[in-house]
Amino acid sequence: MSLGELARPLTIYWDLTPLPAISPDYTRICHHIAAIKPLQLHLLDCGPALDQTCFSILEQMRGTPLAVVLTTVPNNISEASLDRLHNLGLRGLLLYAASCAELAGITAIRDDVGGRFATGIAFQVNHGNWQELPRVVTFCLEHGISSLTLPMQRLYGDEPAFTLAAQEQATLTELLARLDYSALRLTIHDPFLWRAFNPTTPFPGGGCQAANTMLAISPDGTVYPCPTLPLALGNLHTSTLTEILASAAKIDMRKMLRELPEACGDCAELHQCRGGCRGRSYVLQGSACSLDPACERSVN
Amino acid sequence: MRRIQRNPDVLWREEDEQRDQARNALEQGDDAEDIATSLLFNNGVMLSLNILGTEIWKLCDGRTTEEIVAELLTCFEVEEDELSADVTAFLNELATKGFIRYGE
Ligand code: SF4
Repeated sequence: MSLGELARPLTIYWDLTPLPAISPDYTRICHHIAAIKPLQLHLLDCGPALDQTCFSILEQMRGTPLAVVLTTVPNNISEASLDRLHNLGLRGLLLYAASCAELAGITAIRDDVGGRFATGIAFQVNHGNWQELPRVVTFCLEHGISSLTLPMQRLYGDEPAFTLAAQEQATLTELLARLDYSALRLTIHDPFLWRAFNPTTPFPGGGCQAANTMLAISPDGTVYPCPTLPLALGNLHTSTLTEILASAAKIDMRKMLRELPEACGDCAELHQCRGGCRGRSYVLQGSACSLDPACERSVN
Repeated sequence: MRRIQRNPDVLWREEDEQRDQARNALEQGDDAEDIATSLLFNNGVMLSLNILGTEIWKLCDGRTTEEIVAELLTCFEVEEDELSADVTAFLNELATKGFIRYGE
């Protein structure tokens, strides 16, 4: 049975950093989130120290069925913060890195984390580091880390959009083929990166899930369909999440995203790729209805 | 007799609107098989269940298959043998995917 269109998302991505000039009302946002009963809340706090805000959000969500996963940098993790996060009911911890050098810090704290939460690595892929991915995989295998996430890019900010060109995808596939990472749980949102890791397994998910199974909240309280699609649906200073979900902007957004890019035409990959990353198309091509620039067809 | 427990790591949610829609369909004698009334999420795997699947899922609280079937017979008009076969197959599928566990 297909998931179809949902009235409420399953996952909310809420980025707390970089800290905004004017902080939103965090308590109010927590109430908005609880009201729409998502299953998962992904908090991102990669500031120089875990902010008090992060702990108070966890405090408010404690005792609800919502599973909270925190992504933060290894430097923010100490024995004391781990205890505190554990006591606040954190379900998962992802340690953020954007280079192999940053992974070194993770070795030191892995044993401290041990067993308290599901723990993994969130490796942010970009133009400068995609070739490090086989080393990241090796690192996970050698250090008993069972989960590797390649997070969605935050394109509502000023992060440059990353695309893996067809030739690069082939190179990466070749490098990864030398490793056995079948025991590693991979979370990959980009269909083209997915293919490099899983050349024979179709990309799961049934097409772009922006504003359907997921929603994203940026540090200033703006709500986006997905962290990668910077088309704002509203702001939590002035609206509730329930209002945003019922809004014409959200309904029209879903209508647009359900239509596949015309340029995909009769592509043989259509059944699994479903038009690639629509946020990247929007940022790099100016329209979420254009072809994903990571697709070979966009070059030809 | 094996008792069945939901995997506590599974995140799940019943969709109120769709459940009402499915109930209305059943009351009017229509087919509700394709209406997803709940969503289950575990380890990156998502399942959507129809109203019968959802009711079975909710009964996985330490009961045996026989107890689940007996409970469902009070709510759904189906032949016991047919229901029992469907429930067993469905539970086996949930167990294979790690959504439930069989205990003692
Ligand atoms: S043409 Fe469209 S469906 Fe085919 S691979 Fe490219 S983006 Fe994906």
